[in-house]
Amino acid sequence: MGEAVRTWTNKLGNILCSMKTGLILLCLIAVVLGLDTFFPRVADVGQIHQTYGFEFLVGLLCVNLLVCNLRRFKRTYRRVIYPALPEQVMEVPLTNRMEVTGPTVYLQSQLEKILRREGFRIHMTKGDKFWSFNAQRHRAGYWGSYLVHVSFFIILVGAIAGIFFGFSGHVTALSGETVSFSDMQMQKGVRVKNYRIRINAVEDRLLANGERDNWYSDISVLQGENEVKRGVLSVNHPLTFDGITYFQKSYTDVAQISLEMNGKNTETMISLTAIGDEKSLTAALENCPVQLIQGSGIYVKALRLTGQPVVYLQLEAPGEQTAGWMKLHPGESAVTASQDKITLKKLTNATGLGVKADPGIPAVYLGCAVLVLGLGLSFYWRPMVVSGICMHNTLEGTLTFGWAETSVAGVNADRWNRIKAEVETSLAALKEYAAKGI
Amino acid sequence: MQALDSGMIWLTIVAYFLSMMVYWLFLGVKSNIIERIAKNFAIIGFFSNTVVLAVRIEMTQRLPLTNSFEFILAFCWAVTAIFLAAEIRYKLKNLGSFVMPVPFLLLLFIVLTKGAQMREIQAIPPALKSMWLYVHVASAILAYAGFAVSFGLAMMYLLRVKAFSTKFMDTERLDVLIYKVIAFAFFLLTLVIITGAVWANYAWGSYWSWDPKETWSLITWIIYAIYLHVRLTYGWKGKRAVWLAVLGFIAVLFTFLGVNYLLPGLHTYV
Repeated sequence: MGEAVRTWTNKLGNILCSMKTGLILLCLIAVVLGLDTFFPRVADVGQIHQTYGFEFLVGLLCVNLLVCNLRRFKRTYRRVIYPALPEQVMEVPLTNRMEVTGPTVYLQSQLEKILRREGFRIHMTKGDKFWSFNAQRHRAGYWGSYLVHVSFFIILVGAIAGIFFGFSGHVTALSGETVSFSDMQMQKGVRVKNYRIRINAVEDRLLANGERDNWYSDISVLQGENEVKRGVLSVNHPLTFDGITYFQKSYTDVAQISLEMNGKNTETMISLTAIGDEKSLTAALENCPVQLIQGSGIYVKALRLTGQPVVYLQLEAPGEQTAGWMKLHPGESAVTASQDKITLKKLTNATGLGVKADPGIPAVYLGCAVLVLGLGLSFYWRPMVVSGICMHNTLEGTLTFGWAETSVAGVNADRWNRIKAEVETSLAALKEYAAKGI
Repeated sequence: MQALDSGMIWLTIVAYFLSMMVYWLFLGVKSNIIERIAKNFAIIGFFSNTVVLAVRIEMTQRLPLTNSFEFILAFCWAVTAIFLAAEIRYKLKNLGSFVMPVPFLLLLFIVLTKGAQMREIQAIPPALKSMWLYVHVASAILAYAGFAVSFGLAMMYLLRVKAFSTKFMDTERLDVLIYKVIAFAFFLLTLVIITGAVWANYAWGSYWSWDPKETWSLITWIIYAIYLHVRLTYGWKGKRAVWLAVLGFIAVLFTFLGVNYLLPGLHTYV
């Protein structure tokens, strides 16, 4: 029974750790991710990549990668540090092989000279009647594939560190307002610090030609009442303090309006959608989101002419026909169809800030660097191995050496042909010297 | 400048079209003169494409990589550059028959569908005002161009097996060449994903958002990773590996075009 269980677990282990399993898992993950983009949201579950099933697939792939890496490490280490030296002629690569006869010492010195000139590192051993060698060039290339696989673990460690020890959130605040970290809408993690942010100024800066330059927020980070950091941030220019980074995410023009209705005054802030000119007003109103004026039961669509203090409002009361739009400047009032008075009190703006701390980022970046290094070594630092054995009885010997072609046919072929030619040339030169009796 | 820009775009399209047609003619009629004419049309197209890009750089004072029209202009330029380099280096006289339709059809598609408005020089949104844009998009253009050329080589391989057995380079050399081009493009695609992640983290505070463009780039990356694995580890060569390369290019096309039209997300502006 114990033996059967052991056999079964060994089989399962081998299946889990084989490269075939890894490739099948990669295929499955690709298919699931493809479906995920077409069926974005499943009720109560979220997107497919957020499901336990997908996490299970990724987990299996990680186990597969981990075990494959552990197995590969030993093999790669041996191959690089203690390469196998042929002990018999039959161990010399067969496909690209060369056999030459000559004085043993001369053969050895010439071969060493040629291989070293070509950048090979030579391991050699000597027996009573033979010497053999293994020469490697670009041996760091053996680590390429290993590094690529290791990089995923480093990235994964970074991602997990970010999930468990970091946080991210979003906060929208008006110009002049001070908000606390506790006001933040959390997206991930738990807040570990509790600073406050004061929004000193917000600007939608336009260039002279009317194009948008950027959105800017001048913010102060407060600890209690003390300002511990102040800076201006914009899209692509975040501000970092004490391991927490503040990002400019959005910008909104805001209007403070008051509505006098049945003798009751209601004040509220509404977001304004920007339009370039009045010509596009009708189309823009159709697409503009409606907002509720708190406490009134009336909905409003609000637009602002870019760069100008002009606001267009369109009111909608439930069960009534939508009224026409009204144009207001700050301080101006208008009377609605139902004889209510609406006043544009002032124009201001709000900034949308992302706040994030992620201690895993250095690991993620390190993993990316290792990935690039590994790919570079794999593709552009292909190792080349030439090995051989020289059998000798007297001063003369027969050297058989060959090149073990990698799976990328053709790579290093030119170098192999050059080595062969140089060995032949040096032997021909020796014969010529011998013939001349030098 | 605007007139020069428009004129050169049409000259590019016509030159790529003629190059494609003459290369197809060369498939049936084996004549070095025809092949030279086809190549010269490709060179003319490449030259006018370069002028279009240069004009836009002069007009905007930035690299033209900020919307889908500019991206496709630069992509077609890169495809033709890699194709001409491969043809000259490896003497691949028929490669143009399979590669030149890519820049011609893409340019025609973008000009017909995006119209004059898209071709106008536009302001770039704040999110794109970063040096990372140039690293990220330039590596994407080169990677996709590399995959396009590998697709052309793959088609050559498949047709050599099927029909034109004597006209193309031998299958073993083609197979190695496909691998080399894919390895080059795969390396760049990895850089695209990494630079995109670093930039997104810098701009938005999130290095991965499961945006459709990101996800499809990852799917493309996985397909080519499988190709490289089976080729290097299991020694897959020939038709099986070549079909994987074709599948990879279909994923590239979907990432490049399909996502923009079917799956809007963070990359909507491209």
